[in-house]
Amino acid sequence: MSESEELSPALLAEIEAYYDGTLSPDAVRHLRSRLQQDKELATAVADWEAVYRYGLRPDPTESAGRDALRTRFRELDATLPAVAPTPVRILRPYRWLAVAAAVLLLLVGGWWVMQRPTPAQRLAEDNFAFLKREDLMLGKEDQQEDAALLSDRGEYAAAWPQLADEVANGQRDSIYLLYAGVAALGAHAPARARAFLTDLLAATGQYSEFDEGSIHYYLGLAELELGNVEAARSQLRLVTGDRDLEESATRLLQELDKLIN
Amino acid sequence: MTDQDILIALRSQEAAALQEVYVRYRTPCIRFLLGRVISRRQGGREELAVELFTESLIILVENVRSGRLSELSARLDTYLNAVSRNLYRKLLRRNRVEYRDPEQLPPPLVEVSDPPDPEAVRQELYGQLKKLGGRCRQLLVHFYFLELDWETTAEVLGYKNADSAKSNKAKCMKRLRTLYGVLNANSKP
Repeated sequence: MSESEELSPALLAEIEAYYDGTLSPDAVRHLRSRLQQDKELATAVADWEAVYRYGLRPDPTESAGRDALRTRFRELDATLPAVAPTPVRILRPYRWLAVAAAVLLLLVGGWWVMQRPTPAQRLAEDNFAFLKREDLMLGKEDQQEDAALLSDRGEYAAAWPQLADEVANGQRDSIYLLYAGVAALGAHAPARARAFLTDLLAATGQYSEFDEGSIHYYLGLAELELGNVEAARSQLRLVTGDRDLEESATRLLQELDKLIN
Repeated sequence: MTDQDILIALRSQEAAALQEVYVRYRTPCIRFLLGRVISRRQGGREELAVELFTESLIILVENVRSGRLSELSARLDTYLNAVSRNLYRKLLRRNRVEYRDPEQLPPPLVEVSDPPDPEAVRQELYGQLKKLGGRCRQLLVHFYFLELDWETTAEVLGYKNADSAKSNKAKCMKRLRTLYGVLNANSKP
């Protein structure tokens, strides 16, 4: 697979999108034309797309076992009584009225709550999503019971001071300022979040391309919560490296445009 | 029946063990399908519900027996309901026979004169999946082999939402490529 080392992340993302069925017809045409002109690249792509074609999908050699199971289950099912659907409960009219009153109360209450933050703050809150740590992708045995886990469990207010202290004491790598920043945002402490994320950005080269996109994204949310719409826009424009985050940032920028205009 | 008992039963070649799972989960899953999934205008609803339940159980058995699914991250009925609901959605897009087959792949990006041996590719990939770490392996298996939608995948695996699961899948694929030898750590976009 040595030739495949030449595949760039952007090209790999295109192959992924092609097999997910999300690559546009224009992009497919462009990609095919590029591969036709570069034989070496085409060989490398063929190696990797074999993983999608043969590896990441049900194994056709299992189909014989599938047929045998179908037969076995069909025979078993014939011996069992039919399953009757659960009867549908019909609400009487006065119950409908009670439900309607409850819904109305919820709507009025919701409207009142939604009116409280500014539109920019609300956008920031709506677009906040928990950032899973890389370590969480390891097996359970690799996880430790510590401040980071508090953050993983959504206990943000308790998590961010501990994480920040541990980075300051040298107990943790500086990338944990990202998780401290996200936890601070989750705990509605945007000024703290901005400070952590800005400090992390200052430590150039201490994070991956994926993480850099996350830092700009959450920094953008922190600025928004603080009401600094222009600063937020500047950060959101810098989000790259992670397609989903890029899409979220683009969507948020569009919503901010509408808010301003 | 504990999760471990269920996994053993799904893996077992003994008819009695699998039969116990079938009988235990048949009624709740079929009721779920009839009550919440299959359109009331659909002809032969009861037979279709049985078929969808059976097919979803077969998918789970295959994934457990192949070793791709080594642990259950939710109750078995959650899996059965989610897989059978997705099968019904596939049935609406395709026909009564084809929906049970894996989705057709698009044509290859590169036509090669000497294609690789599919079995060798699978073995290499499964080997790398084992090295990937439990969390990533579960995410890729749920997406590619159980064909669950993102909302269900996020719910079953404990991600905050579908976007979070998608974002993690991208990172897991990057790790898998690194293990597979495609992307070295210093490569640039």
